[in-house]
Amino acid sequence: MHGRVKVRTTAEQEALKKKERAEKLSRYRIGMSIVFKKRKDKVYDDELMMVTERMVLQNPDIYTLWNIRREAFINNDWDEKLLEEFYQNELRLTENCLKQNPKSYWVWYQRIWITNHLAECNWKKELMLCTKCLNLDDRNFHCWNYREFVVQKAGISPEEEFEFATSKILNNFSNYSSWHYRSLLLSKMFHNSDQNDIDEKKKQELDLVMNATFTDPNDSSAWFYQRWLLNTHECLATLSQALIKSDNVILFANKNISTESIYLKVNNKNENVQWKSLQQTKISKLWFGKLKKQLNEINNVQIEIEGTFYPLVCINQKWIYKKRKYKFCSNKDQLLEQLSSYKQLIEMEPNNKWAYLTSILLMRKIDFIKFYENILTNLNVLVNIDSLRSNYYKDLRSKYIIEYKIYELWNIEEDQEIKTEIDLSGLNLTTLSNNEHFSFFEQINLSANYLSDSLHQLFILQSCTKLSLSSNQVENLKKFPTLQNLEVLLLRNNKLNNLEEILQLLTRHKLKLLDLRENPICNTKELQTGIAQISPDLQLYIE
Amino acid sequence: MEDYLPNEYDVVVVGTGMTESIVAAAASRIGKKVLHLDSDEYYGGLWATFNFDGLQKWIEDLKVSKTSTKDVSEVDLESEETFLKTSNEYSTVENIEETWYISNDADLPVVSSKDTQTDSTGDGSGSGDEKSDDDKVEKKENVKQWSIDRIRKEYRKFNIDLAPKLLFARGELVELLISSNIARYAEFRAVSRVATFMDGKLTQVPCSRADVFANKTVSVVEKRMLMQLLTSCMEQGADSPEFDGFRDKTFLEYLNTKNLTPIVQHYVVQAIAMATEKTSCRDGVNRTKHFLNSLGRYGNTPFLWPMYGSGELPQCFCRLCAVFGGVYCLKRQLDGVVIHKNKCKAIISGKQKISLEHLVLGQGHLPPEVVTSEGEQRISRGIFITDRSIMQGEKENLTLLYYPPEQPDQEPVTLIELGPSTNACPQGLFMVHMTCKRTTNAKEDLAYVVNKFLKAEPLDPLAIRSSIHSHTQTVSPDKRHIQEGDQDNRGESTEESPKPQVLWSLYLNLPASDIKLNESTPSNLHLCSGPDLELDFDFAVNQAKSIFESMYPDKDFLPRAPDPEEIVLEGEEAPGPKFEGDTEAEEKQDVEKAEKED
Repeated sequence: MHGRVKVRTTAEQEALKKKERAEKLSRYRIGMSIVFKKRKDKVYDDELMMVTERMVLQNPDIYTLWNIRREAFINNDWDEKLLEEFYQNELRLTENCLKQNPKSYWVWYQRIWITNHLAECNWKKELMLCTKCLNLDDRNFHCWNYREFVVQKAGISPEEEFEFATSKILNNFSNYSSWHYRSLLLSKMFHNSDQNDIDEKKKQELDLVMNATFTDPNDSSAWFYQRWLLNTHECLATLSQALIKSDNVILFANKNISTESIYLKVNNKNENVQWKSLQQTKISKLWFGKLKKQLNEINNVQIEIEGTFYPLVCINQKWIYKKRKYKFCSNKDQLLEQLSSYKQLIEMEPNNKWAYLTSILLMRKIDFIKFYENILTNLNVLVNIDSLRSNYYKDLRSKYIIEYKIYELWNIEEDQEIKTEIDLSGLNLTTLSNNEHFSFFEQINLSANYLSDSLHQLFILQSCTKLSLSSNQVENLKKFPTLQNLEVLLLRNNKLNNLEEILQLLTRHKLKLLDLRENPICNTKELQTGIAQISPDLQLYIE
Repeated sequence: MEDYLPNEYDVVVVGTGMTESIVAAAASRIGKKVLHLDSDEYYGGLWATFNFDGLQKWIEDLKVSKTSTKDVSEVDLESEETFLKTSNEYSTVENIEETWYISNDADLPVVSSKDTQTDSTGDGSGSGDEKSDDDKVEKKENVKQWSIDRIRKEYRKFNIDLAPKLLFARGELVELLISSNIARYAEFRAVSRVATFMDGKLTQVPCSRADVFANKTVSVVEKRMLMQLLTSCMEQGADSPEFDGFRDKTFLEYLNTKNLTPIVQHYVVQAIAMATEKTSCRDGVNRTKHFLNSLGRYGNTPFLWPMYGSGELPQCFCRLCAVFGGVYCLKRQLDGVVIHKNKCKAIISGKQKISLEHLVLGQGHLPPEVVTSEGEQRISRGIFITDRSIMQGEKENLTLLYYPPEQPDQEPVTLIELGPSTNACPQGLFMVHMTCKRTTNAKEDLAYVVNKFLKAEPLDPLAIRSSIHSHTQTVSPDKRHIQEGDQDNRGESTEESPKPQVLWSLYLNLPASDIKLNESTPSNLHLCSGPDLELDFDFAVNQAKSIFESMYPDKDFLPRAPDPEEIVLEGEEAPGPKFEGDTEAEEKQDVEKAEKED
């Protein structure tokens, strides 16, 4: 009909699209063949730049093309002025590509490379680009990363950048990238400020994040940031405990340190000690060393960690240092208030796992000992309401029980004594956790627990001579570590049935006593003969 | 001299209000031959938006009767045909009261010698570029007092709505604009805050997640209560068993069982559900749900405001109607309708008798014979130009406030405050719209709210002088108010920031929107109501839909219109209708071509 709008049918549109796609493909093939030929011949000319430019505009994710462009920048004989022009062009190009695909790894990477090569980069402009991009999508982690790089180059203070991060969080707090960026900035800010400032800042942050968790408790991003905040951020490493017995030295600090910051002074002279960490890592909280002097040669011992001296005292042929105090928590009032708010949240939403878990973290921070029973109750609730993660909560429970039992032990300790015996039997432990205190114990009772899957953790029992793992449903000993000092091992009432494993364990240890009663293996005839061959003097209990 | 129009149409639409325009577009879109008439020289009827000058002219014109003088005897009728004269009595605007609270230029003290207001400001062209230039000039030189003359002179910078309405971000109209592709003709601004009056002052209601998060008035536990309640209304809906026990109860009674704190309850009732004590639980839940459904789509609140005023929207639909071949004729009077065997057969307009299949009439063009009830939902309106926002903020805001009645004989008032960025008024001013159900007349109905939030007294010349000082400082208009507020604080002790001074006000009463036709009305005559009391356009959209369905039950209602690039042009001699963007581009090319040839 005359004067009426005529619209293309879908079939026509389909055909058009198909044709366009075919054309695009052939252009791509031709382009790639040109590019690869030139790369092979090392011809880095204008045509190469033009072809690659056109192609990355179409598809910025072909990273080979970006690689070739960088090769061209490096290998070309352009003079400085021309090179600068090409760099500026590359900035425009990457910006255009980002408009199409703001989440292309290669484009952001290319931009970092270019800005790093520019004689003089306008960092303020780069910063504005980031701001603009984050206004469009505040969850683009590529851009957050780039921003971190730019901020560092532009010399913008963490405080100033913190303001920006806050504006983004207020806009939309459901944003892992933004919370994470915040934690990075805070870490930098904490680095230069004293403990009071840190505490004050953390107080504000705890309030802010609590607002987020109450606005939407189902958004996990805020809870994760809160956990980070509730962790202690220690600036200085301090010595927690040290022990010298015969020629063995064990020490552990409150945070990871390297051997370069540890000095052992015997008789006021630096002693040359070869330190070893458990997993041969460069930094560790826990260090083991061998002393070359005899104990009777020693008049005094000091340990120096990051500039602070800790004198050891001598008692019963041992030199010891111990710090026996739970940390003072500076914002107790605030944390108590938050705790009561989360209690109300639990009343309103009895199935809110995050509210329970955060209450636990708060109680632990306020007064672990006082709230110990409440913490265990909360963990039992969590095992039920969040069954998918029940094992995680059980492990957490084990960790807290161990901490508490160690604390109980401290209460019966003499002033100049480090207890070497601990009874952790029948506590339903599922994991040993990485508690450094374990390295100091010599007699450890772990019977009647559920540690069959945690045998590898026994590695931390470096001083242990007598160990009980009875009634732990242990099925195999493959992961049982080698403990140099172990003499007595009780494995009664388990599910051991493999002779090879037991023999192998014996070859690794100089055991004096092994209890294997109430294990399927006891019915094996070769058991006694096999053991007798390896350890003829072993005291063996099988029935 | 009247234009000659073709004599035969599928659909004749009279009146360019919202409903009429949607029906016209929908009919034209499916290929029907549409004639769209309006007796006025502007679009929109009672839905129109005027600049200041246009509004003055509209007020003047109301004094002149427009009812047709045509008599039955003048109409050329065939046998068995009857003629019904149409009347505009159902679109009568009453109780118009316009007041100035400021003086003419001549009465003002000399404020500053830096009078840089250029003459072009008033009658410069309406193109965007020039506007922004003007704005810049004003920001720097905002030293001049507002006077009657200045407002008249800058008449183009006002867009004044007769029936201001918001769009729910997921309301019927937004969905229709998107699905029909008509959204390309319109521009919107998000309402930036929903306010409520609590504990003697205005506060912003946290309605989005971000707002709730950043809010410092409510405790964390209250935040949770609020979010929980909102989520449950959102997910469950009024039919959920949750509300079983409250079928006959009010929304308030339901909320009382929820152990909410007073603040949270206030937010939900007054700002989110916009309910009164009498609102039923079902309505309350549905209104809350409607509000929440629209959150998070555009901006921080669930509402959009059409740039340049609500009157833009009917025109968008008219435009689509014209693109698909609809014929438009403004300033064309409908004299009456010709009825034949209980069908509407034709209309009489001037000398022409135009035949039709369906007649769609705005309520201002009905023959009194078909009307059975004039309706009860009459509207009281107040329009105010003020010198500052009712609630100072760091940036310019677009504010919605629902104010519930203080006394039993009062009606709840909806207040919309527009700033310069909506193009409702020039920099430095604000436009306040109040709407409520009429009980007496507009001025009396709205008085309690006007007194609460505005200073509607003639501006004291002494006060002008005392504020000259702060006006001459070169600060942005918004901050200027804050400074003034500070000054007043010092002068008058604890008084909060002063109420906005009204510079100009207009009260008027609009007719009822729930007019009803009697049963003997021809089935092909369709009534389109005028603006209703609701906040949004849903009523008009739904009415248009049902009219269209009764006309063409098997056809699609406004399917997506093609984009310009999807339209095949049939050679140069018969180019298809084009969208504006295209025409401009082509014109540019033509100009360039011409230049080259020269």
